[in-house]
Amino acid sequence: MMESITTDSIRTSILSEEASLAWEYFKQEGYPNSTHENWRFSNPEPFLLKNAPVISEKLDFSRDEFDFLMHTDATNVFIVNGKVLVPETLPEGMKLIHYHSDIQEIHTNEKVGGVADIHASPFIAENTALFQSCTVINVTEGRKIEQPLHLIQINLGTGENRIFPRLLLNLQPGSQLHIRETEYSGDSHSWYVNGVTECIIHENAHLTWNTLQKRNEKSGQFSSFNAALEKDAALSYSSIELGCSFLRRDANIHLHSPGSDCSFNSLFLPSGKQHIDISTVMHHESPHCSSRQLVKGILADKSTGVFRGLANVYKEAEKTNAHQTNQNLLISPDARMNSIPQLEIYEDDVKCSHGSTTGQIDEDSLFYLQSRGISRKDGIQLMVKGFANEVVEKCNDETFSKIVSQAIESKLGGFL
Amino acid sequence: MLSIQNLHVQVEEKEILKGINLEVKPGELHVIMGRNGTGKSTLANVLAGRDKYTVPQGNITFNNESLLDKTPEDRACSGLFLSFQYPVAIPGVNNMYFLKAAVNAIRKSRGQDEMDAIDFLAMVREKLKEVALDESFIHRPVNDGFSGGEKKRNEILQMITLEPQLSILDETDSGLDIDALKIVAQGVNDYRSPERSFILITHYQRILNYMQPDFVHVLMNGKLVKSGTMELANELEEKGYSWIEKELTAAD
Ligand SMILES: Nc1ncnc2c1ncn2[C@@H]1O[C@H](COP(=O)(O)OP(=O)(O)OP(=O)(O)O)[C@@H](O)[C@H]1O
Ligand SMILES: [Mg+2]
Repeated sequence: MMESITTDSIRTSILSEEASLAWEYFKQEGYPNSTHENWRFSNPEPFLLKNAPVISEKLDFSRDEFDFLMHTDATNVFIVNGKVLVPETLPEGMKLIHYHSDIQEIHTNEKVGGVADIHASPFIAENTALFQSCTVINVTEGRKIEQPLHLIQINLGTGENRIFPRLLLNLQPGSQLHIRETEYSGDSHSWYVNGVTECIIHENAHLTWNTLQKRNEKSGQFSSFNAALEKDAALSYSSIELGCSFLRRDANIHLHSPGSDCSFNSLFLPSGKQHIDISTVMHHESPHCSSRQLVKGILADKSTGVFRGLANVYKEAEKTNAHQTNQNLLISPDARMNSIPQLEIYEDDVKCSHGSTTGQIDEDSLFYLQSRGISRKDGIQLMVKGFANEVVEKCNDETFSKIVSQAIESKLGGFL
Repeated sequence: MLSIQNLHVQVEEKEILKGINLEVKPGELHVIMGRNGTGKSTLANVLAGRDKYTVPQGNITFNNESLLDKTPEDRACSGLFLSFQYPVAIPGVNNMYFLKAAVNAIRKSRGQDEMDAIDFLAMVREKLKEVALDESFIHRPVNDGFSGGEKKRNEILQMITLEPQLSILDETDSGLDIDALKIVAQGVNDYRSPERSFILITHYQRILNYMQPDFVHVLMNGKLVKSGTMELANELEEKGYSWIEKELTAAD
């Protein structure tokens, strides 16, 4: 069945109050443009598809058609156009709810919108007002889920469409979860994807989140990953960005309680005229927290990239450790990279560092490889893969790393 | 095997080599000595095919084929090897993966089958013993975080694995401790054969105590100005280079 909303009517079914507040804010702010500091190098305008219908149904999705995306060693969950297909069996201690109808069954204290602040970005506000369907995942206290949970996000339709996927993950104290996420286009139409993910990682809980983004190269995606970490909680986030015509990935991480730790990693690999923008804000709100950001870009052809990374150390967040590294490799003379690493520190007793480098393939290293019989072309491949590997290894997941490496290799094959 | 005729080399408009002549026959070990900055590494790099140097004059043939218009990888495949004075670290590229790619590229150029991972590992394990390197080194990124001496031993590991005909060792003995020097010298000696030749660039006569050079040459003013045997190396060790300089000006 098809459900198509051609005017931007806000949600009335669930959380309607939040929806109208968010809509008010969004209407007041509007979409950002390059006069906004945070959007100086990224122009969303051509990708907003303002007149395309909003969909939130799975349409004529057939699982068999996409079984090649499934991982045999994981619990696979399809989320089609933002609507989750709840699997029959789930690991013990995990609950997965389609927020549309089952709202009463959620026994979490956290609400949708508790971590993703509508004021952080108009796109979060827009999503909060317009999502029709939300996936909620809850892991019981103390439960360590061994098997990875693989979220397969697919967009699928018959023309240009807009979708607003929304996901809330709640890790109860002491629990552990390993997520893989594949973002995929089931068709070759232009899409507008505005997705918001929220994670609440309670005391002593550990989350690993690895995303492989392979949207088709016509689509524009504006996604945010928002997380709040409680006492001694840990998050390891990695994203590998291969697809989209335009991607803006925001990460808003709140190190909310003492002892929490976040490792944020991202590798982006645009070619052609792709534009990829990774923007992070690491909120060090509490003492004794640490964060490490590693963002690497490999830019080919006429592609463009942006890294905007902010480590924000709040007053009284003493003993903070915040580190940020951005390295970019320009494979083509026409590729452009803008890197804006920033530190805002309101406390003295901290260890912070940031650094950014952008350069071409190192000729000395390449000559070394060639002098051993390796062709220039293979040498470049070897070095580029080596450059990418550092991020791939951070995923801490052999199966995922293998899949990602193959995807990277096949993309590199297109221009190296 | 190698024939260098009247080789002139420039870098950034500056003439470094001004007419080098050298013949290396199969099985020979030639030593090149000379003060810092005289162009020893320049010569080594030109032989290996580094393109930042220009050659306005002169000729190099290797096994009767002109070398200058070949790519570095073609030269390597035809049996030429350079042990770098300063081996570069390549973070992210696994040493074993790199070495396997090199071995297979060279095998392929010789029309041989690629080696599979198991055979390759077995072979490398043997070679690692010869240079007294722990197996962990080959699972690390190429030269990344290696100590100076470890890098040099990694160069020798590559040499004995790739089995070149002509090896140019650019100060492979510099920065080695006494034991490591013996290991490297032993590695080279074991590798010597009537078909394999060497050009050894060094500042010290010490390593020559472990191996018998056929010729010792002195590079000065862009030329090989003096050639001799082991005795010349001993004399240089004792007296330095100024007496050669005097000889030259006297001859002018
Ligand atoms: N890119 C360059 N631009 C300018 N000069 C250069 C460049 N590369 C090398 N040279 C110069 O060429 C000369 C020869 O350098 P080379 O490294 O060959 O000396 P070397 O004999 O190997 O010295 P050492 O014994 O110190 O290793 C030096 O004076 C060096 O400064
Ligand atoms: Mg030198």
